[in-house]
Amino acid sequence: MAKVMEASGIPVALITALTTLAKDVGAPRIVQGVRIPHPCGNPALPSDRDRAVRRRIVMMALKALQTSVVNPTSFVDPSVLI
Amino acid sequence: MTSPIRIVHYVNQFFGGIGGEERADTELLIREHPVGPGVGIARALGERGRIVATLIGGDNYFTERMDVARSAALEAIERYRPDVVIAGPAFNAGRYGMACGEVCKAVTETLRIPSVTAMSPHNPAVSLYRRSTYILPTGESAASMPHILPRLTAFAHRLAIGDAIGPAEREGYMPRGIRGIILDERSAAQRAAEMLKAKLTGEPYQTEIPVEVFQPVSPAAPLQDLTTATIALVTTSGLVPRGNPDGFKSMNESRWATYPVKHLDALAPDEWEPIHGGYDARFARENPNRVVPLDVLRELENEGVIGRLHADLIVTVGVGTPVEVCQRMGEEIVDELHRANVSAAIFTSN
Repeated sequence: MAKVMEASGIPVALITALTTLAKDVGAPRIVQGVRIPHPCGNPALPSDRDRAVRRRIVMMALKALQTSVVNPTSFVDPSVLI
Repeated sequence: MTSPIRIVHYVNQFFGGIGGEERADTELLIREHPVGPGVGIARALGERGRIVATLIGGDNYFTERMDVARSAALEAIERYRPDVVIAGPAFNAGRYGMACGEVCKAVTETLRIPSVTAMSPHNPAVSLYRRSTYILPTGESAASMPHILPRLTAFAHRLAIGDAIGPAEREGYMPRGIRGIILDERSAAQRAAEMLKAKLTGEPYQTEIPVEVFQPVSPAAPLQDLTTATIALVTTSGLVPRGNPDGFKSMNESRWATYPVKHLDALAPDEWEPIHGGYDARFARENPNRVVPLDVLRELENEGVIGRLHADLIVTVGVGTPVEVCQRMGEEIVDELHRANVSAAIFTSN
């Protein structure tokens, strides 16, 4: 679905834990999520730090939306990874 | 009479009898006997061989820590010296399919042991692994277990005894994109003419050059000015208002919906619920913003970092949905976004 949206002229930042899969099916802008059941958070952290992780991921997504890409490209903030 | 063959079988936490999504983190376990579908395989095998070990791996463990998991699986398999490795069947389970593909690929490429797995043709793992192992087709769900187990067993036995495997369309595995040389008495001109005649008269015909399923797309131009942009939140996490007012199914859903979020600073746990059969919903239930980051986007809107968050959240359930259906939903969503003059989208997926 993300590919259809990109092809229509809407840049899409896809947040997913499974970035290899996203790359292989050809999504252009891929943002590394934390884990499958909680791509935009870390439930092991206290809620303010969970929120801080979320903000970093969203900021990376916004960066992806402002970046010109040709081939499927990953955007990763290593500090959010478990 | 060949000597009995040795099989190592890989299954996930669910078919291994460990548990469901909540046990998807299970690290590699080894049982020295058939487990789950392996019992059916052993029965089909009879005297011809036995499953000397079953490896059980959690779907999240394997896909999120793939290097670690692959090494652990290889090390275990090497110890048991099987003649063939069987993985799955995975049906339409995406992570399980990936794990099966990865185990088979690793074992065949690194240990030179033949391998076979089985899954739905729509499983995303097919395009990634069909060249590296043999993948037999199944239906979407475990209802097709009685159909696939005898076929999987027979194929594995042939691999183990060194039987030559012919072309995909004859043997029933998914095409691997490997070109073998086959002699045909007809020239290319004759074959092309026959194909054209069949096509024009509505008769069935077989292309000699099938086109890849996943077509590349030209990415959209990037946003120039974030501060004036309208960003839409789209999700396949199946997060819907409490009570699931549109009656979304937990898998194989072919509809999408919009829910107003203009009035919300964050998604409250008592107002939203995840309807999605493919991931452990605990963490999304506790805090829905962990799958749809509305709280942060509203904060960024208030700070002026982005122009505007689109008034509606766009939701579907991303599990067991065929590519063609996703394509159609994507096109419909695009109409909606274009109509609302949305500049870009943040799309969350599990």
